[in-house]
Amino acid sequence: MKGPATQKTQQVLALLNYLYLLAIMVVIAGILTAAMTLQYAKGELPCPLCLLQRVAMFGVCFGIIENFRRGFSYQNTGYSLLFTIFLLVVAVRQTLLDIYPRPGHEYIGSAVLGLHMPVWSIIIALCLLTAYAAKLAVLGGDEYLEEIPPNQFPLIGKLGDVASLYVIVICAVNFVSVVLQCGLEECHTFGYRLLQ
Amino acid sequence: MLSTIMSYQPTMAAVFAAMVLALLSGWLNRPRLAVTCLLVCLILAIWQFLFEIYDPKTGFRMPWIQTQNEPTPRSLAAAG
Repeated sequence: MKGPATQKTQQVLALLNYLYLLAIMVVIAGILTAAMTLQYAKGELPCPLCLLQRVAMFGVCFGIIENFRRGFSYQNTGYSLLFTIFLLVVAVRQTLLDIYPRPGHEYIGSAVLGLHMPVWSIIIALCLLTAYAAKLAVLGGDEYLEEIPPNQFPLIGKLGDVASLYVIVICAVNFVSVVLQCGLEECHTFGYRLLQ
Repeated sequence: MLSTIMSYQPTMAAVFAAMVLALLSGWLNRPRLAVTCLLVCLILAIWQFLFEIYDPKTGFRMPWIQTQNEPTPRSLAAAG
């Protein structure tokens, strides 16, 4: 039987857990929005590996969205971690591919703070892995989280829903954009194939 | 054999379509469909990734990266 103090502590920890997940999703949504802004405003078309890194970030968000829709579960954390590892593998390979500039292989797009997209993706993936590892280390043994759904915190739940919807919308925009850019063929393009 | 397998390319549009479906199904409370679409998306994405990095001449290797040791005075002396 849990005492009131323990229950209160668990409520606070559950609140922090959902806040933490919301923060991760908002940061990823911000990164994806920045990438899309560079694409549409500056005309920087994404390469195939860049697009796969976007897919990986949407996959990370999937796990978080599921946590907000159906309550916390480690299965959802697993989905997010799977896509984080995929993001890291793709980003490392692309960085190694372009690390020695040669014809047809050089970092494309604008550098942000001196670093290009694949290098940033490595940092993002490492930050995600560190964030999940830190959460497990601090909140380890937190089965009670599964018993406290996000709707117990109305504001966080609503913000989570808004962020989730935003991520779904930008994923749909990316899908349309990919169809316009690549059609149903390979994505090594210098323009929107279906608009030419 | 490997080059034959790697000549088949999944389209990027299919990868994104599977991800959109996964996110939408999750939002519409269809967890099984959502997870199925997510796994399909992951498999297609891995396939696409392997296709992109595969080169018929060098396979998955990265010959532009120098991995041989530079000769040192000691290794030169040992070589005679």
